[in-house]
Amino acid sequence: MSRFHKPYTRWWLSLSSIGLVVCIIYAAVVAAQPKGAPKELKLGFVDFFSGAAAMFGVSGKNTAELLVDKWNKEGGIKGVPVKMVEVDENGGPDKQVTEYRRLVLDEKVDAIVGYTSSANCLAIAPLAEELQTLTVVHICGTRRLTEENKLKYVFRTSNHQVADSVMAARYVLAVKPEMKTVAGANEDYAWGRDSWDDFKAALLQLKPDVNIVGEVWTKIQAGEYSAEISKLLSLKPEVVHSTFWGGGLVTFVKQAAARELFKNSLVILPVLEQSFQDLKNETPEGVIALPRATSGYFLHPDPQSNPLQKEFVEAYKARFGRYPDYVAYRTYQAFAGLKAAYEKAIDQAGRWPKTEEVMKAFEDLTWQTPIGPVTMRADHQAVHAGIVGLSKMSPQLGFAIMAQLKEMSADQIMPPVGIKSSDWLKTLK
Amino acid sequence: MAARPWSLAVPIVAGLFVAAPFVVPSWILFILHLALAKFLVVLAVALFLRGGLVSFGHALFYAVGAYTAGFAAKWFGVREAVLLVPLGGLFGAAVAAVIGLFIAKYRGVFFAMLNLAVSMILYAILLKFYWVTGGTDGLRVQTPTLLGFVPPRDLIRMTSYYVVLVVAGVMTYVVYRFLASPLGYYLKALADNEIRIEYSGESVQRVIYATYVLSGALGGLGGVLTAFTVGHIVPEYAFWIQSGEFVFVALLGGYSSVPGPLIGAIAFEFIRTYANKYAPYAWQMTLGIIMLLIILLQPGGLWAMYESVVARFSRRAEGVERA
Amino acid sequence: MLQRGEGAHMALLTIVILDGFVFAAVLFLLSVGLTLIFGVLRILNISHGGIYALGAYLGTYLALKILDVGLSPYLTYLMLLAGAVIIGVITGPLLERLFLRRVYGQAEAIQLLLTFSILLILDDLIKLIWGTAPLMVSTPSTLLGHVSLAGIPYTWYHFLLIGVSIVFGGTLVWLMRGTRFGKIVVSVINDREISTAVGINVNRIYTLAFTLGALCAALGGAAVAPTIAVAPGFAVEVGVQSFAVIAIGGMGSLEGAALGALLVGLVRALAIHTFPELELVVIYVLMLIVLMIKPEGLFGEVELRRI
Repeated sequence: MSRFHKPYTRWWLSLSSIGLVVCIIYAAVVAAQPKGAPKELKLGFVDFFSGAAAMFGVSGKNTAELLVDKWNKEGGIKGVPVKMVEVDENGGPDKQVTEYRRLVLDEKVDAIVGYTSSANCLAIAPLAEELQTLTVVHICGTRRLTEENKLKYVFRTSNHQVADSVMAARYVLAVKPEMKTVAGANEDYAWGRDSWDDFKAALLQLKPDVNIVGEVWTKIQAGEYSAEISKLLSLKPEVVHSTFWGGGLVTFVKQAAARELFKNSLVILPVLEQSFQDLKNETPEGVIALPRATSGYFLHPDPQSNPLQKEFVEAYKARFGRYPDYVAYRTYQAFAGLKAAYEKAIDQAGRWPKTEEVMKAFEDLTWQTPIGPVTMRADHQAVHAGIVGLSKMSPQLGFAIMAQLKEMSADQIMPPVGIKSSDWLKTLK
Repeated sequence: MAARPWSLAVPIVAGLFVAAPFVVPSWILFILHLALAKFLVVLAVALFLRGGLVSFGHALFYAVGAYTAGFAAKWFGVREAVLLVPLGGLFGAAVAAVIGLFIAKYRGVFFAMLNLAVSMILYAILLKFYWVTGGTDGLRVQTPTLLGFVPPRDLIRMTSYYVVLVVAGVMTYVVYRFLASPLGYYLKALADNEIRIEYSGESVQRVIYATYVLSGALGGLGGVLTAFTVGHIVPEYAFWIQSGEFVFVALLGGYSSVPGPLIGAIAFEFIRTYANKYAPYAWQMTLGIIMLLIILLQPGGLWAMYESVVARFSRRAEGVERA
Repeated sequence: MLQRGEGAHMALLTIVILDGFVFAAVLFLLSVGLTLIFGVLRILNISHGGIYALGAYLGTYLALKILDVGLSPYLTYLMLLAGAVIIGVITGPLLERLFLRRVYGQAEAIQLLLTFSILLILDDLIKLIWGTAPLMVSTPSTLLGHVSLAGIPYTWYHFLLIGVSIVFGGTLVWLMRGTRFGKIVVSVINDREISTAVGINVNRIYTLAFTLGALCAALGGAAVAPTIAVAPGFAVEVGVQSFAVIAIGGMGSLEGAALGALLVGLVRALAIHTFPELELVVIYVLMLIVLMIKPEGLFGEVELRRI
């Protein structure tokens, strides 16, 4: 009797357990569905909150929160409050793809701002088109995003990597016109490789007799550079170009300064400005520093004479204890651009706009930021000016600032619409 | 007699999976989709865990499969699923066949470490030769065509899902047959005492090698399918933390059974999504704590938990019967 | 008089050797604890990188605090040491008693995953405690100044690191070979049952051995910290390198860790100066080659199968 029943009971039990599990999952699904948020603009914000790039994400997050709070205090975008959902960009493109879907389909965001890593922004671009969600890329620098795709739903609100390299080439020739030798120290991935290639192309186009004496390649955020520094020292180049960033850059500067690399060579560091406040008084003087190709930083334009800049810098410093860096400014550009696009679309349509109307308003839009105007082009790539300078310690601030600033206009540093960077660099003057 | 409960549970579960696209919201469907694809790699790792061997390098086959799809699209313009899916599995098996020749001699930590070394070499190659592989920017993998047809836009996701479901189903059956075969039983015996296997006339190396090739095929298939699902692949697919993730999922679900890895894969994707929603800054820690709890409390994983629940109920039922 | 070409070659060779030794010192300090733990407990402690990072973080933090307070910069060395000792003495017994003890004798997969999960937890714990900004204190490394060798400057601190690793290694070898404690440990390694029968408290020895390994890890981290900027994710990065080093040298062997570190350091330095493209793969290729020729590693012992 019992032997007949045992497998039968088991069968029922396994069936009902499966059923129970399924019901639980369905219930979770149903409970997780939002009721629909009619009178609220929901924005997703994606940046690195963990891992080596976290110092980037923190600036971005701070700025995003600061701006959204400010807008909501002022009544929101034309009276509609803004709600932000934050997602960590760490974990690789497959995780980002899942998260993007979750933001759009579960959280039901109206638009998404973010993406620092080239790999991630390239991964989600096709997804934005598939899910028809307005996506504003704020930091990601790969030129491939706007040059290799025809974008509809994706917009990039800041200059891409070619601008950094061109500015570096132009400035170093302005500061040291007789230079003959240059070496490169970069991370061995697309950002490092492309930046170095663009810099070489620009430099050789502007001064063909420059000699590339050597290159060193490291892992991303390697953290240990003694051997690479030895090699650079033994090559004795007049100029060194390096697109190290974040924690890796901080370590490199420490190790290289201790061995007098900065005394022997003129070093160009396009991402140095972001690390000024971390390096404090260990920043060597006379290094060519850029906030990448961004049109300002917390001291330029002068906050005392520019109200928008003053407001932002003071609010940021008061709330977060640090001055805003280029990541903060580019995040500002992205959010401000999005808001301006919405406002323009609302004015044009006379009611709350559809996504396609916002996109149409975004194209050819110019909007103001604390560091100057930004213009969105028809190919969904925005352009603006860029600044570059030499590092100089500031005793009052306790960290380095940029001196001997030079500003370069957008058309000097970014390729025009429709022209590929590689072609444009060959015609540089 | 023992076959009976399975023969009914299987079609029911299969039915649930088939019905999913019509019942479940699309982002949950995506999670299931991804879990089914990764489940194949987890199955590969689980096979070895049954044999008492840990592989910290299955990301190798996963990456091989994924980049098969990536290169086919980039260098040959081929997008055909019917061609690329088996090709991914084939390349995975081929790589396993080569590496297995010397890896089959190792056990324990060395087995794990050698796997890891090979996968890290692939990672470095994928990273370095970025003009071929796209480096850290990764490679775009477009939605594949099915026998030359591009499915209509709103059906793309569903078609992809069914392709993955079919492959997962077929491979589950293959693994089930493998485990029921003499090689499969020897694999289980490997965990207990490998010398006795040799006493009974079978070569241990042959057992490990065969399992390795099968697991390579599974890994490659998982890689290709994930590449099609996600649409973008990066060298991190070969990184050792990715392998660690697969091992974790195998443990989470329970590696002594075939449904275990599937439950583990689904549970993992859900955990990951919800951890990101509620604790985005402590994702690794959440994973670590869950792993610790499973290891310390129920090393058999979710499947073992389910089985113990079932056992308790059936025991009670039995008691009632007898009384 | 050396010809110009010969001079350049000699200089390059010197630089490669110097760089190789510096990097080897760093690797040795990283890996010796790991090989020690494996030697005694037969567990590959994947969380080793996490303890190393904790030592680096706490050491750096304490050193920064001392500088903030305005005391003598020479005290930073003491702070680094203090930070490392605190970490080693806390994490060692904690991890061993609470977690490792429960998985002795279980399947290898379980042990590996246990230590892996601890690594993940430690990595995020570091981020929760110290935030995501990098921490750096370079005073200990710049305080000693630099010296020019083969035409390029090296810091004295790098040579101090080489010295520290030699002293370290020597002390551990003496501890394991020349003291009573060492002999007891060897006995426990060889046969746990007999050791218990003879009256040795094996549990205590395991805890002590693990703590010693954790101490080594933390000291390694603290020693290296002044030359780098400690940042999140650091633990995972160095972890893989330590596995490779001890796999090459022979797991469980102290001399092996030294030789493995030296080999990897020199080969990597050579690669950077001559074939920079290979730098990423060099450590794994070396590991593969060594393991294919001698599977137990250079100084490893062949494990006998127990029937």
